[in-house]
Amino acid sequence: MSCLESYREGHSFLHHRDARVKLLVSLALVACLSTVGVQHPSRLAICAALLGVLLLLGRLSPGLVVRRSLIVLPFLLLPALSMPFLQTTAVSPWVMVAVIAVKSWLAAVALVALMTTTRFEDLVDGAARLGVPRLLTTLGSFMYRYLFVLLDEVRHMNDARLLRSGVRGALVPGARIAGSLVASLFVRTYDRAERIHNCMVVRGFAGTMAPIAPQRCSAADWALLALALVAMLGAVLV
Amino acid sequence: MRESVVEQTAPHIGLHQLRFQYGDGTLALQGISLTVNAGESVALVGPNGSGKSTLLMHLVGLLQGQGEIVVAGLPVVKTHLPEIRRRVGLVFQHPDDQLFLLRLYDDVAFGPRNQGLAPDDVHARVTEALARVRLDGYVDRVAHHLSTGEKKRAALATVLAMQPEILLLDEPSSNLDPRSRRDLQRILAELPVTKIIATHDMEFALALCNRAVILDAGQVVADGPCRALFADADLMERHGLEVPASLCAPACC
Ligand SMILES: Nc1ncnc2c1ncn2[C@@H]1O[C@H](COP(=O)(O)OP(=O)(O)O)[C@@H](O)[C@H]1O
Ligand SMILES: [Mg+2]
Repeated sequence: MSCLESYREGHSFLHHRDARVKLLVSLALVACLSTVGVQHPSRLAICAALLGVLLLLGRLSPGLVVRRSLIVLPFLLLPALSMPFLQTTAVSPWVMVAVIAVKSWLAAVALVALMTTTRFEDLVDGAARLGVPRLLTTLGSFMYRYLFVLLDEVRHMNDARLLRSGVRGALVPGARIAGSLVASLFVRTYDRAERIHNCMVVRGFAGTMAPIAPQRCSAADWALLALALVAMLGAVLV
Repeated sequence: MRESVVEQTAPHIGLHQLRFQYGDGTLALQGISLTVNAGESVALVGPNGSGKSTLLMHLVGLLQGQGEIVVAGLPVVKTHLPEIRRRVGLVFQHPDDQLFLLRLYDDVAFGPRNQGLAPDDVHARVTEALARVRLDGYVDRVAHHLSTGEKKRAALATVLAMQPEILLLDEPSSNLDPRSRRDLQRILAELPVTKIIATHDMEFALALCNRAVILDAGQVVADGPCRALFADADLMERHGLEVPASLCAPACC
């Protein structure tokens, strides 16, 4: 739950930047990192430097960033790690693994910096303003919100089950109980989703999320964007 | 809050022979006729399963039964739904369903934004609504970390931000501790709009409404002044309700 609820209230420079700019900068950074190979140590260094600047601008504590990035890392790393063993190159596969591990971790840190300093709603809104279809962004915010609904229901049901069975600490229920739990979870979540939908419809919801306050890019936003683009351009050209 | 704009001729809310059956065959409403005038506060009381929620959902077009319904002077038909939903606010029983977004501000702003208001107006609406429910300063709070009492008030704010002229409340006092219940009661008493309060909390109904409509098994079984109806022990007993303590003769308590 806490890794989903990732936004941290704050008043740093990065917190106050337009979501679109932060989204673009993070995407550029991740894209640039993905092109880093064994033969590009300077590209990796420039990416790392930009990332360092972002962390400073966001006044993010290293402990928090490391903890969160390690949660994200497996998802990025697993597919990437299978690659060196599929190719045959001059470099030792272990060097390649090391490079891939480092760049994946840096990409994870970039995402953490983005998610920690930007509200999910602003992120979704920013994506819509950048041209991502509203339907997709609405879907994204629903999935995000319903994830919490689902977790809520799971927690309630698990509490009820523990109370009735009297077995404390049994985290993994027996297969038969688990089956019926999943079935009733489905029904409950469906009912709940319908009630939530009703609440929205009654308040004038017509299919897509209405845009949040239009943000105007300030000079600081442009400056951050320019800095990041120059750095990324440099990294690719070096 | 906007003053109610009603033509004197048409009733604010009118139901004629409303019938509704759920998909599984449950006859939830069996011919309900009712009128409510502008400015009235009406308690819709009845035991669990008597059809209170089903009735409220018809008033905003979430369910469609047979019969005629007029709300805010408009027949409840598809083409009028956007207008009706602008003028009628429904606060559901479970605040968790109403607080959909993560930040309270966005939840309260949801309705006004859907109305297409400019950001400054949205902001003014949010501020006013939160002040009315005594949650000023809660804009950045994460909705699912509030207490039940706060959630109920927050859910009310999400509807007040739309400045409805009719307010429908489904079991507003359920699951509240005495203090939260009193706070909510005070807040509701201050709202100068037409109210229909579905509840089986008799004291709450008595405190907020002059008139009661008693529902049982999908039918209106009584309609009259709260005090007279609630003090009728026979009537209460027959329909699974209870004479509120404040109306009890000393002997019965
Ligand atoms: N979604 C549903 N499907 C089938 N029956 C329902 C549904 N919701 C409510 N009912 C039934 O309709 C009747 C009225 O329910 P409801 O309006 O929720 O009553 P109340 O709000 O007064 O407790 C009850 O018998 C209830 O079981
Ligand atoms: Mg109900």
